[in-house]
Amino acid sequence: MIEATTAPGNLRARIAGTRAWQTLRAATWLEWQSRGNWTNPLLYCLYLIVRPMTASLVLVLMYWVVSGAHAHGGIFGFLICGAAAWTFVEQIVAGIPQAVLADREEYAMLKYVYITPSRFLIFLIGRALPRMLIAFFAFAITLGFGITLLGVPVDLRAVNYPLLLAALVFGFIAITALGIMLAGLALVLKRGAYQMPQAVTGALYLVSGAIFPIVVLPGWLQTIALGVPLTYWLELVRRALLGSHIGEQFPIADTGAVFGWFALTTVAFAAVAYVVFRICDYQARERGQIDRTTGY
Amino acid sequence: MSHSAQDTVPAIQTIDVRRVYQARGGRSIGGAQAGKGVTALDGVSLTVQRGEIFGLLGRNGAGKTTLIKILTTLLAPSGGQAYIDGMDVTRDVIKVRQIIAMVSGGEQSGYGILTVREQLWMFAQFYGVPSKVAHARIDELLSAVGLGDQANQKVYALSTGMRQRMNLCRALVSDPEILFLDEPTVGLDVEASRAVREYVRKWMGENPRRTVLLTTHYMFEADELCDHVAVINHGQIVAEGTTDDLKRGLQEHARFQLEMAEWLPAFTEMLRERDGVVDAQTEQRNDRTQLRLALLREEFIVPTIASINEAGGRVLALRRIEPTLEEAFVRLVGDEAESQREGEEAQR
Repeated sequence: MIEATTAPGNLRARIAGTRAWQTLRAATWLEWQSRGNWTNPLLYCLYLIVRPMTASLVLVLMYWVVSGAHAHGGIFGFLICGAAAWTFVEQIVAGIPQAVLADREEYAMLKYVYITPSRFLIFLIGRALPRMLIAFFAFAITLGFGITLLGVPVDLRAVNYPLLLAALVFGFIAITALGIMLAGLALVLKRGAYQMPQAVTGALYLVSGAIFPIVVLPGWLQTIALGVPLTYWLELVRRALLGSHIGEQFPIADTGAVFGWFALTTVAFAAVAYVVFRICDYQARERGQIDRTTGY
Repeated sequence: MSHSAQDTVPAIQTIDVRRVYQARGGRSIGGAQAGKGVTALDGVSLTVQRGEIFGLLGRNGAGKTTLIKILTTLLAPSGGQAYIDGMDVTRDVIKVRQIIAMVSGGEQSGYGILTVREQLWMFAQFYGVPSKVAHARIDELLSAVGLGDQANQKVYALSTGMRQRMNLCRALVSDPEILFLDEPTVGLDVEASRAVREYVRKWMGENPRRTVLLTTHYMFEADELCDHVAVINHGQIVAEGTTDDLKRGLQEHARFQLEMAEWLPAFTEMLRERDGVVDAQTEQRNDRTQLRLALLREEFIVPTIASINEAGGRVLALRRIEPTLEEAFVRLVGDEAESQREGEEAQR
């Protein structure tokens, strides 16, 4: 320990780098244990398969009722792809703040993690990684279910895999940034900290075009939607899976332009999220909220 | 900084540290609106040297935990300065965190889904301890606190005492230089409390650079463990010194108890008239007399005993009466608390 505080600059940087990697690894492992350690592996696998399938079945049934059982309509693929991709948002955006609140109020461990020399931000990113893996699994299950049993028009040979990969990687950055920002806000909120992430994801579900095209939204909501990176992200995922013709329902037709806007809004959003998180972190320490138990 | 230079720097130093918790709706930052909030710390200045076990004693709400939170970088002070090994707790946060650890009592903390070993390993990672070193250290620590057989037990299955011993290991797995123990034995049974105290003493004995700041309600615990203590009340340090200093500080006079044989009532009057004797009281106990003496100073005991012998009395036993730390604490804090309570009742 003495060496870490008195070592020369380059060695200190190396020690900090090693510690950052160890923190990322340990936080990832902790979240993985939290997600999967509550039951036996077989039951957990079953849960991972059944949960996304039932969630998408609910949407499918609603769609059938509304459209008169035209399961293969043009919007059907749009809906299933959106629902599949939305699991990333559910897992990470709502999951990171909940993990922080559980650490603080249920396990009473947040203060001990917080006073370690590891960077809290890296700890949170580590908590997001297993959720991304779980979300990816749910994404694949939902799509597989949709393609094989519901006839979603995805031709696996025609999928634009590079675009899908790029969209998922950038999407992870945008989604994690949002989750970290909400985790910061959860630290400083007196009431509603548990409900806030659900409320935010609910609002984003409406404006991001998760299950219907944003062109059906009122003009002012469309303007908001175009400022949210998730809107572009969902559009790119759909274009990668269903083909570019799906873009007819999106205000920006060119895929390159959509990607450009996605990258731009993601960078802007990540910067804002970082600043908000730092402010909340500072405020939480000023107010003594790191180890608070609200009991809500 | 070299070790020799570091040794001259106090392990912990606070200078006029203040902390005001703002009332709901008020701004919580800084001391500018101090009048509107609750003052938890009101100008606390303390110095803890390396190698010490320093006790911070106080009633509930006196400010002990608030001070520990500030020193462990969990909470920002509203004013004043606080240093850990010469490093500012508000500016050198990461450096401070590299050399400290904390254990709080009276809580069921721990990731229940992990095993004891997993939890300790995870914290070692957060401190940058290599896995191999961490596992060796975990084995050593668990064995030392009697949890060797529980290494692979899930945390949720541990008893309160076991969990607290695990938490002590969690704090020590990074080999900190400065350990903060915030009422570490609250809620523990006698055996578990003793195990914690014994291990803390042993841990301190292993390295002279280690330092402990302990807060406790239990005066015997402070008496048993601490080299120096400070009493905090309403956010202010009201007394500081060794435990003996605190006890003796309360005694206006040196007090002795003597077991006497062949005692005559006239002896008592004779003693009361002697120089240096403030008071003399006797009590008959079976065939012996118990004499309680209050002397101006300790050194008056020798001529006083000599005069008793000359008069024909016989001293069978002699004991210096010292107040306990608890009595000292009650005198420092309790009387004031009592008068405050009476004042509040009178207002009603």
